[in-house]
Amino acid sequence: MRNWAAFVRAHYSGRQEPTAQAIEELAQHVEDTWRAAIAAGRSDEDALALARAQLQNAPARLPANMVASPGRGLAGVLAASWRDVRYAWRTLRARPGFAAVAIITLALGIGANTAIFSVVRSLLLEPLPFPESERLVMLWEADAQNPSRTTIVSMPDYVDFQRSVSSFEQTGIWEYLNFNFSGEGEAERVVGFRMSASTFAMLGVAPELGRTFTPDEDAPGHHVAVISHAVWQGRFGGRADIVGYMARINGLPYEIIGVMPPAFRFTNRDVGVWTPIAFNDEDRGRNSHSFFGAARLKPGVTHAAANAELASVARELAKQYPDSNGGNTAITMPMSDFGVAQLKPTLAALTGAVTFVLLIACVNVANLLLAQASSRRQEFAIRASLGASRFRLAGQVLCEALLIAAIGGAAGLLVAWGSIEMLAGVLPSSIVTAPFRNAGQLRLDTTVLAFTCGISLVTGLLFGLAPIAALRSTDLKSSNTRTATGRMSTVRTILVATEVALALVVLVAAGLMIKSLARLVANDPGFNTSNVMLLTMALPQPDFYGPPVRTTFCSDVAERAGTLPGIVAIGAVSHLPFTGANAGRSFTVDGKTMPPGQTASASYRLTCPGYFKAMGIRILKGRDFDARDATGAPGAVIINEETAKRYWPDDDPIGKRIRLGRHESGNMTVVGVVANVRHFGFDDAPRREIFRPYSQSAWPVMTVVVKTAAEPAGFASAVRASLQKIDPDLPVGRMTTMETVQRLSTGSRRFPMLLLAAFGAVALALALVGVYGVVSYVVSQRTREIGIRVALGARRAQVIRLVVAGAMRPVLGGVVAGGIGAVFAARLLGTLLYHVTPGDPAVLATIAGLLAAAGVAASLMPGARATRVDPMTVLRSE
Amino acid sequence: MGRTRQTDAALKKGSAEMLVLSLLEERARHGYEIAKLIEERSGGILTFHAASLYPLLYRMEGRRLIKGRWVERAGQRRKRHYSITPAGRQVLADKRSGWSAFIGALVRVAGLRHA
Repeated sequence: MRNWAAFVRAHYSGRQEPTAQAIEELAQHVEDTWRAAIAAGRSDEDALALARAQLQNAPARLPANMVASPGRGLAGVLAASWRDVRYAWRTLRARPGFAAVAIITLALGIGANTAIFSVVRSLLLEPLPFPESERLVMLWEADAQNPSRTTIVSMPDYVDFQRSVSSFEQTGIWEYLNFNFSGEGEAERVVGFRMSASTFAMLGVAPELGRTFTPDEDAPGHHVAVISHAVWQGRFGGRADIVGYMARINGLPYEIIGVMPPAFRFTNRDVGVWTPIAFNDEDRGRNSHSFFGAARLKPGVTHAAANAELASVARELAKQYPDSNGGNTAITMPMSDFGVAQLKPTLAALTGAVTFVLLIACVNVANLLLAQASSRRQEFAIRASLGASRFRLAGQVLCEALLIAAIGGAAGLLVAWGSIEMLAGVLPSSIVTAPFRNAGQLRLDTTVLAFTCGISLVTGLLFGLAPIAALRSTDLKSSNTRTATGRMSTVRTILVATEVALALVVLVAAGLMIKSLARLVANDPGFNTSNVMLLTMALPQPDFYGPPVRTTFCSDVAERAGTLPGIVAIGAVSHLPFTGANAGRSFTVDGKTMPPGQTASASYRLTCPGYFKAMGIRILKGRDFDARDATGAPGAVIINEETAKRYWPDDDPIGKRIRLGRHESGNMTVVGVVANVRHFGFDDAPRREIFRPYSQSAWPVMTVVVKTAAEPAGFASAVRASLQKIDPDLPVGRMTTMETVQRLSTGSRRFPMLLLAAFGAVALALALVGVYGVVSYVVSQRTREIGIRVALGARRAQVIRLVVAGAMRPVLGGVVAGGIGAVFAARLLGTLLYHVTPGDPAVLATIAGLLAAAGVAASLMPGARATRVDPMTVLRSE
Repeated sequence: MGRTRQTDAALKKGSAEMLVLSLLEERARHGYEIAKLIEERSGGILTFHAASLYPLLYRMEGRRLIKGRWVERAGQRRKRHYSITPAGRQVLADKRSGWSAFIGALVRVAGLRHA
């Protein structure tokens, strides 16, 4: 039994659809025709042909009472829409190439945008996770002449601000410290703060368990600690009796009084323990800038008002204490900017690049839809003559565009998920550890997803509908499409030029980053990273000054680990290059007077003998530390080249004497001069450094540096085990290598470079698709002309040249426009560039050449197709 | 083929409504019956395809010349029967007199003979 109603419906699909009643009548009619033919002895095939003939030559327009109206209410609208969606689906399936390219294009654009904006939003746009966080500010002291040069605050200044600035409702102060946990399980180092009780109150966050500090506990002598949820779960296994538990911290018993909730990040996820601020004598110097300060503004107080009041207090302090505070001021900055300001060039560059990728995707989809529209003109014209109104055609194009956008959006969601996974793997530590935020754990931002989908949808609609709007009723009725296609191809040419220009900008940005990184790593850091293994050890030390508690640390390391087979050299250092760790000391140089207001100063490091050899830092003069520099022996110091040049430009510094700040007693003799190191990274200029032996001055965290004869991984467990034997209570950190440290140090540039390169590749691919599409289209339009040329004796090469030359006009136009745009856009990269100007001619030329070559490649295929045109076929067909 | 189609178009244009109305004057009929009768009675010269017949019927119904209603018979599928309205009878009478005058003129001028 045939479904005659479906037979009829299929015939009317895409046209005015008859009412259900009319379809029933038509179906009966068709069926009766078929039955009569069968009864008359005709074959089923013949009968079916007769039945089908009944539906031929339908009038252009059905009477109104025969046409199915979408019906009333939502159900009717839905039914009509569903019909359109089904039709659109069939249309797309009939053009799989077009559909695939459009959907992939959109997926890449939407996915990449969602991923990047999810990061940007979490860093720049989301409010901090504290109540009324817009009232929270960081408190900095600054150079009055140049307030952008800020420093952390000194304790006495903080106390004065707290007391005198009426704009502050509450203030907080803290200092970074490392804590050694021991007692339960393996010893472990945890980053934490000593922090004032008021800081918790200022933030407005309550503990998950127990309590935070009372104001009384700010005074020295209270051994209480608040820990993070992660430390509670990890180190203490989530034990229920954690509040009141006595833990061993820095070798002393501390009572755990509270656990902070899992979402509490102060300032980042690594911070796992807080102890009372307990100011000591060392903190009381106004010159001793060691603390982070923050404040909560009173409701209604503006940042400007708070800053004005703070500045006037700072001016009073400068008058009162000219030695320490002269030339200083103080400022507040929104807490939400803390730690994010230096990320802005990276985020701006990525946002720009990803926006360009989305634009290119939109242009590409527009281009595809226009191409479709021109090739479907005939179809539209026929359907219009069959009675489809322009409104109806528009509705269907709309439906197709919506369908593409919907599928593209869904695929974009997958791409976004994938990209976020990949992003999480390459995020530089500056983003992962951005204060207060959870940027390391990326999650998909649905607002952003909706926004990007919306953008692509609008593009689809705009360009899907444009050709319909341009159809005049006369155009629809006549099948002559020549005039309109000329206009269409102009629009498409402009779109291709735009696409090429946008792709060029992204690629130039990527090229500049690659060149920057290449220039950067070409700098000699001053040490040798190959086969250098690193292990961090935390050492018990009540304060930062004076001889170490564990006087035999260096010799223990050398004797236990240094004697293992395959160990070439072993030493230790307090501040490893490329990690950002630093300390400074001022000193006086024996026999020299500094100009008034100036003191001699240098970066300050503690080392164990063997460090320079292990790192491959050359000793230029004198010697390394050795047994002669034991605890209690005469003070010894090694300086670097830069220090020697600054303070002994004409003399041999060996044997000269210096005297360190006010905390050290006795003079020290320079025993060696070592080569300069770029301490803060490849782009750092050499700085003055002085090195002291650990045996004469302690440091709480030392990095053991081991030069191995082969790949360090093979030696790691043996070295680790031997270090652990020195003292089971001393935590030994995870093994890493100097190569890893070096690679991570370039993360802030490597990350945008990798992403820009990826976006550049996507942009290039999309632009290629665009060029290919337009050239194919133009070739199909010029088939007749090409046929005539071939008939007149044009050779293959000439035809290809003709096609490629035509294609290169928009490509070259785009290259020129993009080149100009790139020079301006590259300024956004700002400090990310290293020894490369935004308009670097080599990069511009390379990328322009690349795009031009890609343009030629994309037009060669349609060009070759054009040469296969058979002149006779073409001429006969007209 | 070309000739038949032209004849069809020209004749049908003016005459189709009259043909339908005159068939319905006798009694109510459904669409397939109308098409068959036109084909039979014209000796196969006049044919209507469903695709053009039903739009015509609906248009006439819209102008209240005819009226359709579903008729159910036991054991059969329901069918839509069209019957002529008083307005339809009026139009049929007008058309008949108009066409008689026209054909009379053709006969006199062109020497046509009534079939």
